[in-house]
Amino acid sequence: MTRWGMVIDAARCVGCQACTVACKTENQSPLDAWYAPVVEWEVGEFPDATLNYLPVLCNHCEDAPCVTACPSGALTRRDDGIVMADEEVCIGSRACMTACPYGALHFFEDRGTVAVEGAPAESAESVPERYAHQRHVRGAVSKCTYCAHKIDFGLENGLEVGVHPLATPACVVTCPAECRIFGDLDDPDSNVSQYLAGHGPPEVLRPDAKTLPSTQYVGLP
Amino acid sequence: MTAISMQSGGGSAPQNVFMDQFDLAARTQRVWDINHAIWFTLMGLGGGVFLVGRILNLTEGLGSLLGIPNVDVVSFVAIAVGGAILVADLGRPLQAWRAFVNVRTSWISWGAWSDLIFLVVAGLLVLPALSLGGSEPFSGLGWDPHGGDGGGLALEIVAGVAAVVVMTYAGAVLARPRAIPYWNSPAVPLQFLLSSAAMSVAVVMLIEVIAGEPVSTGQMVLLGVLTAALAVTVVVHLLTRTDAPGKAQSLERLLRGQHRFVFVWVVCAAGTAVPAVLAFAGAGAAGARDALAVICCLLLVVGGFLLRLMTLRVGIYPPVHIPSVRGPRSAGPTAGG
Amino acid sequence: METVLGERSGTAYGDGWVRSACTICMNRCGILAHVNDDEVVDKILGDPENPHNHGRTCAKGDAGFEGLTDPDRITTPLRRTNPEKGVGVDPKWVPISWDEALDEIAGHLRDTIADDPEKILYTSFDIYHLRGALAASWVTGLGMPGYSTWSAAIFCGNNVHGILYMNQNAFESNPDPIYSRYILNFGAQFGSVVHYDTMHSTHELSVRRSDVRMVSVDPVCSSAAAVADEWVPIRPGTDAALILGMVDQLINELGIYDAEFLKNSTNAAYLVGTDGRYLRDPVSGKPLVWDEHNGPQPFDAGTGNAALTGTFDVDGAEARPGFQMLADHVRSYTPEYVESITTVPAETVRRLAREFGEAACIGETITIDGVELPYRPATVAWYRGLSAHKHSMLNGMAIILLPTLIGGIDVPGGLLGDPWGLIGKVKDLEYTSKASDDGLISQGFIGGGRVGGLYPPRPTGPPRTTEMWELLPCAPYGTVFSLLNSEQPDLFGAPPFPSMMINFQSNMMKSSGPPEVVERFIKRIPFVAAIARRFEETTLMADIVLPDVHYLERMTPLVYQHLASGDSRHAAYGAKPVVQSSIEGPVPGEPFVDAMQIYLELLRRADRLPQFNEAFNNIAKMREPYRLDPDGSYSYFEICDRWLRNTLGDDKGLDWHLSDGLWTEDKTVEQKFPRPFFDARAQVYCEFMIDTKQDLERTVEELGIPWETDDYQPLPDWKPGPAYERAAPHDLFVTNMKVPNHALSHTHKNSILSTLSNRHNDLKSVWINPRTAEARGISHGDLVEIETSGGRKQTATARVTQLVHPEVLATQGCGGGWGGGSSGDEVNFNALLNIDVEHIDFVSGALDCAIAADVRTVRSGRGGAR
Repeated sequence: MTRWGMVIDAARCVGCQACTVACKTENQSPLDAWYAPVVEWEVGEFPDATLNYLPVLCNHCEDAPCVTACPSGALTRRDDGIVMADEEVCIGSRACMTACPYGALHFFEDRGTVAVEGAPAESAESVPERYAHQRHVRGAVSKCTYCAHKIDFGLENGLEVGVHPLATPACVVTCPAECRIFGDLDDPDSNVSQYLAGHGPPEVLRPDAKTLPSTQYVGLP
Repeated sequence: MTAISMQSGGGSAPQNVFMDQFDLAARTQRVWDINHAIWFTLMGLGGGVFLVGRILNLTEGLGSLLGIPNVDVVSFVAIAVGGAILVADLGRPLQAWRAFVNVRTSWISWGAWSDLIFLVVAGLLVLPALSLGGSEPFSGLGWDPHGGDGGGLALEIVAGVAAVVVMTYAGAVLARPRAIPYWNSPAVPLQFLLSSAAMSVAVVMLIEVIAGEPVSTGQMVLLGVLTAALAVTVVVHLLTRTDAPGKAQSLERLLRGQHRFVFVWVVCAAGTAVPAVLAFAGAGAAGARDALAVICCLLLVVGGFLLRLMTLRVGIYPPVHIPSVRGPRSAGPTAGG
Repeated sequence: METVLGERSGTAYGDGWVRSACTICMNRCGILAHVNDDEVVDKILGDPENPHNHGRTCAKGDAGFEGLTDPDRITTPLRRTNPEKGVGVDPKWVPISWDEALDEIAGHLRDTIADDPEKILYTSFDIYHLRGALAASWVTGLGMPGYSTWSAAIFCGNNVHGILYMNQNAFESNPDPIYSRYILNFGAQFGSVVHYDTMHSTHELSVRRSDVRMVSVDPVCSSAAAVADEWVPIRPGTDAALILGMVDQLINELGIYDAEFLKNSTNAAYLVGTDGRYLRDPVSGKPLVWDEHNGPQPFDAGTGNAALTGTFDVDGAEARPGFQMLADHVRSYTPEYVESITTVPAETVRRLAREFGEAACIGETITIDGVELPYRPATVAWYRGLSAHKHSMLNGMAIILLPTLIGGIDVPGGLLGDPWGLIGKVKDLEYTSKASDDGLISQGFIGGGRVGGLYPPRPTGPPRTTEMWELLPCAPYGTVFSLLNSEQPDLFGAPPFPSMMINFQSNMMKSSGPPEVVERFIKRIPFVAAIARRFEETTLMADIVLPDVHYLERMTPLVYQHLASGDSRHAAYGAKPVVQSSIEGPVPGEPFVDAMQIYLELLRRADRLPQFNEAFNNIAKMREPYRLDPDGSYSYFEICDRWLRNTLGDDKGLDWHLSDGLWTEDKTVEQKFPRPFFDARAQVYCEFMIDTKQDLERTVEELGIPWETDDYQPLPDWKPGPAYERAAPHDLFVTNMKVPNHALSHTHKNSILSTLSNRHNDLKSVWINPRTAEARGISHGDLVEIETSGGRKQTATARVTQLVHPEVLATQGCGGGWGGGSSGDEVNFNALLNIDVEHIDFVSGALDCAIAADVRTVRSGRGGAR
């Protein structure tokens, strides 16, 4: 079996948010929904202070609380481990959002307002917004899919997943610091398995939630 | 040149539980709020009033509307209104029927089914009593709408079980995932169940008072016991896993922070402790019982609603990662060595 | 109309992908842009075959297609009908024809050229054209000596370009991302994704991050400091003291310096007399060095034993080598003295010097491509942080000492140069700098810009423009003097003021100074034309506006020629139309692909085509058969075709550009690390400053104008800037920092990036140290007002954070403004600047960006900032 997974070497992250934006443009997510942000936090006290960075995205959990909570069956876990949201099926109960420990689900709300609060007014007319409306269903929940459309495209066209830019998640392709590696966690010879083998046991976010994530980390601060 | 063009149907805005998506911090859920608190309350009340009416055999003698016993009418209205709010709050209300799909794992699906089954079965149960313009078109149906025969009892039991699920599932929705530690406890559905039961007993008492029927000592004792059990559950929940990430922040907000007044004084004191005391007092003071029943009802319903609202508002996710070292990036090897 | 589009199957990625170039920042990365079925660009990837960015893009590049179908786009020439002009005044545009617009601008050009061509002000920071021959030829063709970059040019490289020309004939330089192991950022962003060569550097550093130690000296823990191993907070404007303290430690305490390099590749051994000048050979006039065996010898006598230290008697005159002069000069910069100026602990000063010196591996070599080369894996990076100060040039002269002392210039691990002097020369690349008579590196060929070097200094004379270029013999540009002359017209005897301005991709109103100051300047210019894609703050000040194309609609060859030293491949490529602009251009029947088409039309209508053709032949180094006939009239496409063939080979014309367009080549080891193969010397002791100062003082005396010449000195010093002696309540410094998801000012109008920064960086905020906040009663989230000692104000949300020096108020990015797409509640740092004599460096033309300020709460708020 294939189980797609992502290994993020957090120690390499430079906090540039390229992944954040590459994800947004690839998936045309609603303007203020960020499927793959880089979170940051301050540590220490002046002058021994600094900022730490941590890229986050959907963890594509083996025991996905969002799938469990979803009443409509819009959220499913594919055989290759990718957790998908079918926006046409979603009823907008948002049970998944409260169930996910990672904040990985995003509700595209129709509030009947002009523009996103805090964003420039023109954004209501911008290309990204328009495409978000075309690609996403209002009132439904959307999420990171590990760019499943790119993976499927790669598999259909004989491109190596995790290597070829058109067969690899957008956040992985763009990352200038190469924090991210994408591949098959079930294959001991894959890039992800090899990287993990060379960097000690992987860590996951919110281990207490026991979700068995496919997004795994090394070098967590 | 800076015209803001309205799109048809207005613009739109996405929503994420983590509004501050770029901060690593404990974060409060903002997905569910007052609408959910209202329908949680109405569902609990609706299921509970039906159950209390049936268990205490109070369907007869407390008045009726179109032939349907008032207790049942209150129950149906509460659940129908709660259900309507629920559906209206969905992102895509027209797709609401899909809520029935995932009964295998989703508590919301269980809730949807239980709401539906309850309304259908309980509706069927009371149908023979329906009186329209003096005629009872369904009186030919062969069961007793008060559950006095085999058919009636069977329907009553099915509707009763559904009612229990209706009273419980909102709490179960919150309690099942581990994402929000304050919610992730059996105490939450138990609180909702006990609160629903206590509210329902009190509402039934109110109906009795309005109908001029005496409130029994047993009812007062039952109300006291349920309310006291609720109080115990709340206290136990407040005293367990107090330093768990996320839950600690929830408790801080409830007991010391921004929700202190509402939670401590309204929910716990006025909405739980006071009615418990009043209920036991009422059991021994028949003369003041009507007044006490009305006061208890008021306190319990307000307290029950705010209990749910406060529970929702302190739905706090711990940070996705708790950094192991608090300090700047450790110095690398000194180059040139 | 004929269609000109980049080929969509030109890549291995199937349909709809076009190879082109990014124009968002100076990096000009290679990109692949995807066109969807609606003929809309919906995705940008880095070009994996491009050695400059390795298939990576940054947040800005990813979001670059935004604005292509902007509803606010300008689609036709417009004329102002409201004679009143200013911020917030509606210009009352009316559409006019291209003919009418071009004729009017050409008429102004003709009149101005007849009067004085230097009264044309061309302001542009168009990244595609900045380093190319096209725009340079356009301004030269008009009769101007060069164009004015404005905007960022007030701030960016005042003490960078000239200093680098002087010691490595480079326009930019960067730490070697492959071999360096110790990198000291002085207020710079190397290691973060907002610098030069960012994609390549970030990639290389990430691979070997644990082997590299990065230290950021910065008043703020900016994004580069956050990824560094150590952040050294420093009081703004005091870096030179720390640097000279490190130089003192290296020379006088640790004895760490590359003596071989200093003797043979710098002027450190040149003997200096008591008057500060070189001692010269009476026969040849060449500077003398002291040979340990043979006494005084001409520097190029090949002794190999020139003394660096000591005091010598040369025919009765006392002389010391320049290095000894430096060693004596920096003795006063003791760690304790440095601490008192910088707030950096004395022990840290000692440690940084020791770490840097030890990391330099002096004496070690490394073999690359079979050639043994010096290995100096310690280096520095600096840009605006060190440059935007009153004594900017002295800061630059100080910082270049660190890589020079250790021989870390254009060798593995050191500071790698990106030679500007190589424009138009790719295939027959050679290091073009020649040695001066004194054996020193002299600036090579410069394009059409006014960007000047330090050495040799230009002769001085009466100013011919308001930029006072003729009185800035060592500065790269004098842009800021335009604003000063506008504010105080009588100060310098009213040098010639522009009669007209053409503004293109340079939002001066937002990015150069306080809006009211720039507004007054522009209002004084009788005629202003702007070429713009949407109504930016500066466009709104124009009399005539011409539409511009989006960069994904542009066809501009050779926008990038990666010729920097370092172990990477050469690359040259350009931009091609990914989609066709629907806007009608200046030439009927010709697709609109570049503003250069407008310029060619204007040149034709102003009868200046012959001058353009000749300038282009000269600047682009055109050879037969590609040279333009001076009397010919060429379309933009034909010029591009000839330029491409001339530069890259006859088979690489316009067709090749549109179908492929990426040229790469391996470097020889000499191209990778040229310093060991190169004779001309870098400078440690800037003797030329003495003569330059005298020349300048003579000129300004003749002109009868005040001028500051104190900073023309052969060795650098730290001197206090205008905000150093701060008086309460304005006893803080307000400063500005870069953020990785914005570049310059234009990305602030990108809805994706501005939404991101609203959520992430929060450009409405000002960073305040908790100690400072407490002392002023400010809480996190308060709405505060920053007020400078000059009385300028901005409101901001307080972000109380440990990540900032207690004496500093830190703002971010270049936000704010009132034009289309601007977010007015972002902090506009430039609105706080002071345009006055006290804040301008008269050597480099820099404007001091550390401003004395006060801050106070105007409305308390809870958690508004973060």
